[in-house]
Amino acid sequence: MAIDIGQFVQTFFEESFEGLDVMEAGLLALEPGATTDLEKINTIFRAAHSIKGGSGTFGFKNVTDFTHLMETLLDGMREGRLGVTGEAVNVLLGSVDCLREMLVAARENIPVEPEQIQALQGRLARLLKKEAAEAEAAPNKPAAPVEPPPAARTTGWRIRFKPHLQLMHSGNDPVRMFRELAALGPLTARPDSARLPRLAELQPEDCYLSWELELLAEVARDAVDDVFAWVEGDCELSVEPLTAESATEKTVKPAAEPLVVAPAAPKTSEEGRQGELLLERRKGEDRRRGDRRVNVAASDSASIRVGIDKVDAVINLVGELITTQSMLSALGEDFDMGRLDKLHEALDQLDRNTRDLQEHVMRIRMLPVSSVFSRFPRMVHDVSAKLGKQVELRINGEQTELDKTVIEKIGDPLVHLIRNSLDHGLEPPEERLRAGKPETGVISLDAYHKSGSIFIEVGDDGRGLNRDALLRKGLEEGLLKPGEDYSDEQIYELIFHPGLSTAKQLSDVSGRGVGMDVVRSNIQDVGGSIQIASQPGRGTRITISLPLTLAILDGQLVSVGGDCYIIPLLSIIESVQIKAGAVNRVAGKGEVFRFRGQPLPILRLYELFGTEGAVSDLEKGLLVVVEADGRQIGLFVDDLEGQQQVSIKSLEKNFRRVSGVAGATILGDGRVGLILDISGLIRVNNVAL
Amino acid sequence: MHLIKCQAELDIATVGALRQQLLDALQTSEPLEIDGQDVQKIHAAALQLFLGLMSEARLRGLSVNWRNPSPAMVEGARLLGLSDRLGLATTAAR
Repeated sequence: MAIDIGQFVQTFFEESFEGLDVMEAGLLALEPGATTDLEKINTIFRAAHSIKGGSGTFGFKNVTDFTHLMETLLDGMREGRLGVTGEAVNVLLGSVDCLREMLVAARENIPVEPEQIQALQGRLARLLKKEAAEAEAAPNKPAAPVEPPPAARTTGWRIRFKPHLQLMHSGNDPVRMFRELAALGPLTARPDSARLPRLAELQPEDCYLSWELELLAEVARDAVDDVFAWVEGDCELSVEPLTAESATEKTVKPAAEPLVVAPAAPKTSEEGRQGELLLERRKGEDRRRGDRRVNVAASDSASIRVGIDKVDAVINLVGELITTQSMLSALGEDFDMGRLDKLHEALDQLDRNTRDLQEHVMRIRMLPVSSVFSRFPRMVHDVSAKLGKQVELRINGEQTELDKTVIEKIGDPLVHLIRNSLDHGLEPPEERLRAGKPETGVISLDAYHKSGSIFIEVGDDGRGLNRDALLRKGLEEGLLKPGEDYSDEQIYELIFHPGLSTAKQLSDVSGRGVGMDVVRSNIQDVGGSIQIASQPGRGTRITISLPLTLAILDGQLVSVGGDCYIIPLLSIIESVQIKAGAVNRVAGKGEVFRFRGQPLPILRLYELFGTEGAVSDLEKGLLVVVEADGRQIGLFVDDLEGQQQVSIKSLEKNFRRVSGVAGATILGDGRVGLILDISGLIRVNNVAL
Repeated sequence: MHLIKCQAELDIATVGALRQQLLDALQTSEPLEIDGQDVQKIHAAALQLFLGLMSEARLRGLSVNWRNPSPAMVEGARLLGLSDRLGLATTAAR
């Protein structure tokens, strides 16, 4: 078995992007000028260090070099040589963006724009130079104050390093590690090969050797630990200080085994430090499951990280299911009617188990919404700085979980909504002060779970929507009728109308609504809906409701001929029996039914799907009125059957795409039912008309 | 004499093949010579294999010599403290 390094590359990218998010979050949390928060800087540093290590291993040299500069700067901050200034944080944030682009470029194998990289490298280098200059200017200040000399002066370190067999499986290479050590000072390695089997039995990727090392260098223990940080858990390790005495004793004592001294590698060589690969070593706080950024998601791999607790829960349930199953088979073996109660009981239990299992399996696909929310602090930071506004972003409920597919689709709409709030909702500081509000505006982002749906709210305490301007515009465009009374909601609804509001057209609520139609259609694509509430001078709140999952839907079963179709319950307005007299045949436009004063096109499903034996007399069947994309249509069916939850199977994957059909499902009696795609049907009907 | 020609990159991905190459070489029961002049990169796993080869050859009474070991190879052996056991120390000094 040879290890294919290529299989790790994808992991490297995924982890690097996560690392970048950690860095970004950490940088945003740093307060310039305040007392240096070592833990925060360490977190950022660790993330940078992992990216550097990985990129070195996979040969992305530009990434390695770039990260190295960042790391040096962070190191300066960590050691207090360099202040945490606003400038430094901004340069580092810019560098994080740049790194992200470089990594995307590396993954997609496309060239990167060198200008931006060089510019940032220049800025990083300047900051570092400034540091050096400051250090020189203040010669009485110790150059590196963080390495406090230990109480007893150590001349080096004795390291006992006994790798576990699998150490090299995860990309570790003792050669690389020792080279890193040798870069710190003269290194003596004494190998122990007692565990080494005969060549024929030797597994080439296992590590059988162990070492006793002596590093004759007055370096901090951290420097040694750093080298072994990546093999934590993959080896037995002890590091002891070497005092002047013991070192001499050692060198004098004749060596039982050959002693080989490796000279210290030149200090400029950084490659020794690149050896850290994508180990599974992760600190809890660094872990953010499955963040998918828009720019990163382009070639999103089809994998998710699942918490072990979720998997365990499923395994437990499967265990229960097996118990129920054996109970049922025992019952079935010699069944008599006297045991009917027991059978019912067991079937109930089976039902419960299945539902629990379904719920838990669904949860595997669920990701915390924080994976979307985490990008917003940065965005708010950047945009508010650009606009000269003071903004506080309050995030709540980021642990709320949502289906992965839904998560991926709501990122963009949320970006849009928050930008709108920043740009148009919140007033500039002076205007806020005039209005008697605090200078700092608040944007809130809440996610919560309510009655089987997920709600996400984006709110601001800005100026609110301008009802009058919207009403005027609505009247001008002929979307509203003069003289009629409209509710606030109906008027606010106008911002979702394509092309209605642009900055010019609506001076006060400039631009609010640009692209809002796109936001709404994106939300509707994942089966969600969007509502708006606003109070002049108090702010605006937009509420998005989303289904928990896209894999299961509440359906209304309808029969047409011998077939069964499923209509998504959410799209049904009502079902009516109709009188033939109320139906008009419009020349070239099919049948139209007058429904609550409005003409409603009728689509006979048996005609569309060519079903035989279906009810064709309009008075004998039923008309199911459905709505999608703001348009209604009447679907003519034989009869309604039950309502039930159905799991959606892709028709495209198993057969081919059929317009008007969203998917299929297997019904309780084993028949296949087609799930209707209402907006598709309306489109089909329009073409037919 | 049987010549073992080393690839340029003796990394973890290639050690499986290298092990087979070494086992095949032992089968010849001829004195072995390892040509390491092309080696640019060497992983500890590869050095461990050479160590296995040395003891195996000693058991079988076969001699193993190096032909032009590359600096990367010599450095790797030295870092792991294996120069003497692999017979790469003298070569390095030469």
